[in-house]
Amino acid sequence: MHETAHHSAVSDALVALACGPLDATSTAAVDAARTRVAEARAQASGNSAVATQLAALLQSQGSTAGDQRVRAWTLGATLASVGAGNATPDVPVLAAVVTIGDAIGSSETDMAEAAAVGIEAAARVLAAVDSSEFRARWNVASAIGILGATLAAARLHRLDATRARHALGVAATQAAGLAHNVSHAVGALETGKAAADAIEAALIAKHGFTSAPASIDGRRGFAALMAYRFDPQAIVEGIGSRWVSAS
Amino acid sequence: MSSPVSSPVSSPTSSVAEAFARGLHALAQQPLPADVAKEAQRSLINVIGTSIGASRHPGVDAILAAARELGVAQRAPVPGRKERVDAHFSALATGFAGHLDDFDDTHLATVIHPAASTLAVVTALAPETKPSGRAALTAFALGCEAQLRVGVSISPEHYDRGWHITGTCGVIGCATTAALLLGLTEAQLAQAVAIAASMFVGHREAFGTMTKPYHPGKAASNGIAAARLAQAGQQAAADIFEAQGGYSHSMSTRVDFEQMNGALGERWELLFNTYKPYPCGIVAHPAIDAGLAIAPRIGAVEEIESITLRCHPLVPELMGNPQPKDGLQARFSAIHGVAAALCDKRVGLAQYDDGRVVRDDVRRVRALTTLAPDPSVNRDEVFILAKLRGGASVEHHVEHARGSLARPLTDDELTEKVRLLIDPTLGDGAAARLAAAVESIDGARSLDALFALCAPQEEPNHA
Repeated sequence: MHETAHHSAVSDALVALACGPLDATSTAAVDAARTRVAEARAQASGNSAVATQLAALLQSQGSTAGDQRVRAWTLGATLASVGAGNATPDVPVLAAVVTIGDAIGSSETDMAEAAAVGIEAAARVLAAVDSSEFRARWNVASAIGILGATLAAARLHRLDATRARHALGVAATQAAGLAHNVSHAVGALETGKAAADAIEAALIAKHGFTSAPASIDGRRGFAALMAYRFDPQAIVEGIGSRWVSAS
Repeated sequence: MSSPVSSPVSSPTSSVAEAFARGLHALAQQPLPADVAKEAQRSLINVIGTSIGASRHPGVDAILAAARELGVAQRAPVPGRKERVDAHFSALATGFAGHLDDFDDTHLATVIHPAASTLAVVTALAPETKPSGRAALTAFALGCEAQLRVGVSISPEHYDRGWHITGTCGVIGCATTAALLLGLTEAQLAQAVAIAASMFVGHREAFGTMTKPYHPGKAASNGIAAARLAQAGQQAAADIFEAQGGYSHSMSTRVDFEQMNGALGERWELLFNTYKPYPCGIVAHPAIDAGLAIAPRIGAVEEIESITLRCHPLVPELMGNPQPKDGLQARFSAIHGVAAALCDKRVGLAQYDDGRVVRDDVRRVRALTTLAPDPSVNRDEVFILAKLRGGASVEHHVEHARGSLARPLTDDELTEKVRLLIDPTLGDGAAARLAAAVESIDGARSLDALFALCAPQEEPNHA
């Protein structure tokens, strides 16, 4: 009954990108991410209507205004509702990075690197699964964005590779959001929620939570269930030395 | 918006979500039928037992540590723990613990374990919504029913593809329970289930890790979020179930909305919920029954020369490990279950501890035990033959396993299962007090007393 794979080149590649040092090839991607983090943070301090309503609502759970899940969800929904229906997987990454970075006092460079890594990971996973069938069923910004956001969160929390792999697994198993909602207001909520879920995934993994080693490419994993084509090479090949998100 | 309805089934003028909400909301306004209320109570005490039994697990510790790091409010309980957290993390931890050892409940037609996530919603929201016992049981029963109906509408293709149906359908039942506890209108309930439909969680790839029981936990916290969003006026697509690019057609290649909305209030899927007597795969249960049945008739296990189990062929196929090396492997060893039954005369969580699994006595009995697959034997049936020193032999035929639909756990057996789960954690008598509280829930003015009984008197040192 347990046919879970114990090894995954895809997980290894994504986790190595998230946890390892970045070399000179990353400069353009990190610089671009630095700008985008600053833009996202400007949105976080703004007072959009969706932000105010969502924050008040989620705080009714009894959480404080500083609750990172609430802040990330709110910021992600705000970012996603700019240019409705055109949100990308970058949105949850940026929302998670700004929220976590501000909460734990990450340096500007650490936040830029984490965002670059998350955006790159999401771009590569999307390239591996993208098709009209995929986009006809799922909200791409939330379903893919949670993976990049979780790897970015793992980097900010300086998780080791094992914990980052577990965090990725917790994220993959809840990749969600429906295509039918993308043009509705709920679509922005789905995309913001991916940032909140990424924060949770990284934190519980930090404290010892475990998940599937091959959460993306396993027989019952993310690609098998949600994708209609899967090209693992699009994730693995040249990762960390060729930046598909900055070309 | 809403108008009086004569029949809670789908109509050509309303969407699937609207018809679903109309039926569920109407059922919530009336007392549960007696047999449904009874099964809901059995589901409830069973999952209170499993959630308390697993409440000290490192996975619960990890969830609560994350909550502490986020500085969340200390409002809602987690059964078996002294800490309080916000509704989100209370739901996450409770749903996780309830399903942790795969020892909870199973709706056989869908393989949904409905009660862990639903209990988690009740636990998380009770301090805030203060439901009466009757209202809580109704919300619990209808949350189970809602997710089971969504499940049957996309089964078996959805699970076969690899989705963990307990999370993917659970979230919709959890939104229902949360909406009822929060006092949402019928129209808001329709929005809540429509919002929840996009918060599905759970891949079977995660089986064998802590992420499997994370699924009902997250289904619960997502369901609560969906209900709150609906309460705040969030609008969702009314046709989210039937639309292309919506829930049902994205999650399954075959969809039958009659299974979801038909005969609401007449057909109750909750009545087909079953409770596991042993914390391992269900196909091994007849063999364990047989071991327990003959154990008193065998003096000492040293007397055993051989054991033969004539069983359904799925037993060796799914549970065929002859000499497991740890507790997780033992959960896939019917032979271990029989050996533990003969050595310990009981089969609970303790018989699947890593240390218990490798001791010499069970290793020896396992080595003497053979599975003899026979296609003429039913899945819930087994024949056992023990040959003893000196030529004697003992035989037994289990016609229907305990916990099967044909032979449900009796109330006494359920109480005993729950006692073995709860009393080691909360002290002698705790399970009996909780069972009494669940039995009298219909007249309870609040759940305060019930949840007080779920809390330990002293927090153990778990740091």
